[in-house]
Amino acid sequence: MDIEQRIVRYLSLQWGEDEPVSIVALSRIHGGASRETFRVRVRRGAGAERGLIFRRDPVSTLIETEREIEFAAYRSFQDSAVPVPRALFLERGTEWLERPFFVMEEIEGCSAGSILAGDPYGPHRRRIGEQFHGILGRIAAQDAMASPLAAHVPIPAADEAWRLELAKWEQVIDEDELEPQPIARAVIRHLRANPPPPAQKVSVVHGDYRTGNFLFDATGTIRAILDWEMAHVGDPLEDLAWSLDPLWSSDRENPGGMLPRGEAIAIWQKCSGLVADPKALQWWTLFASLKGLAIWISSAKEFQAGTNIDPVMAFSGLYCLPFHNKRLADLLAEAKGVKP
Amino acid sequence: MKPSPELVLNQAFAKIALEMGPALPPGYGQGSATTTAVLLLMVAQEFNRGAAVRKAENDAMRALFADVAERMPASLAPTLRSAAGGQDTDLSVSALDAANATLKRLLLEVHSAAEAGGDRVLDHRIIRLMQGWAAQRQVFLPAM
Repeated sequence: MDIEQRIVRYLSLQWGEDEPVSIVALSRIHGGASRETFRVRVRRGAGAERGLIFRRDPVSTLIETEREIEFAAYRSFQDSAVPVPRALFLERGTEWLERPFFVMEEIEGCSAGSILAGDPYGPHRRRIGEQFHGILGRIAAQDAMASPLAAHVPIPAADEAWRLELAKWEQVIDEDELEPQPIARAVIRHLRANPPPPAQKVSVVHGDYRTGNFLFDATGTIRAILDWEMAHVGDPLEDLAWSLDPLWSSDRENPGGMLPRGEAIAIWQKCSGLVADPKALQWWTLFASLKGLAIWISSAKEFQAGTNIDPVMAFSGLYCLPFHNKRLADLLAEAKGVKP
Repeated sequence: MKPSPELVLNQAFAKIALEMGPALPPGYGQGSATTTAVLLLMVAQEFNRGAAVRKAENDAMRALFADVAERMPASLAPTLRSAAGGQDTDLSVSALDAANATLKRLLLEVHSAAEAGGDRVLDHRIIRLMQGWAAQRQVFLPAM
């Protein structure tokens, strides 16, 4: 049975068989290296076409994540000021598509920015940047404990969030490095020896909030924040620092190809009601590039081992990994007062 | 080897990214074709410099170990002296990579020992070296 027939069977079960389900179009979306993502246009009975997104667990993944976490994260922001697609079905069984998956509504008529684009948002750069950092502030402002996500992830104390995240990504490097990483190890020692102040609050952390992981329409309106597979509860400065990492755009003046760093931080502060303490943000900035490095180390290992030969995995190892190694070395030198 | 591998890979990038990729229907296939083309561009950069970058790093680590072996803990000093006396006789990238990994494991120990012993001068010297190596290993891409 091909994938179209399997999807029809699954949707018929979910929606009932009184109105037959038919597939109008099905295609795989490029770029979702952490999950296989399919765009499916369906029709139910004589009704209008409807767009769905199927996110299937891969055989191997860039990031070892739980689909329940991503699904719960989408549910956490349903019908809120944080735009997300409606999460419809979570399927843990393997009888339908061989691997577990979940289904969301498709946000139509939108595009995502590319980290390789020199100017990913063109005339909408400012408008998108204001929304982007405003939405991030609103994620931080939400009550994490009341969210569905809280049932699926550890809840760290305010002074333990940094330690939990640092240990998690150090372990990834321990397990996946194909060659010694002296820069990463020096950074880990430095971060551990110089911890940040406690988080002002523990909040939902998207975990991968950046250019490429949101959809905007032709008017420059952000319609959906995507890719919540690394969502957790922690220090909201983690997301802010990650969003400002220079890897997300070749535009060095405007992180992510959007707003100057200072403006982005000011908008985040206004919308979150929190303060981006410079010392704390410096710690999370260094951590952000370390976390990036850990992800690229994992992807390089997957490609090298042949467990995932998607070209995105090789790209991560060849381009992103050296980028973050250089960034980490420079940030470490700055933090330790190393003279050129 | 003529045409040079660098030229071949750059031309293959252009062929796939500018002609073959756009001819495919939008979606996974087209995106993968473009990313694959970009990989060729990156490998082209690495091809020409790969051996030189690794050889320079290995030489620098051996020189460092020769300088600092005597002030390192007794458990580490003989290994450092031995490593400092080594040389790269096989200049293939795979052989240089293997030597590089061995030397970097030692560098990790030296760096940790420098930090633990409060040797700020050595700590900074190692960070400057690593900064330089990281810069040499960067890959540059055109905006697309």
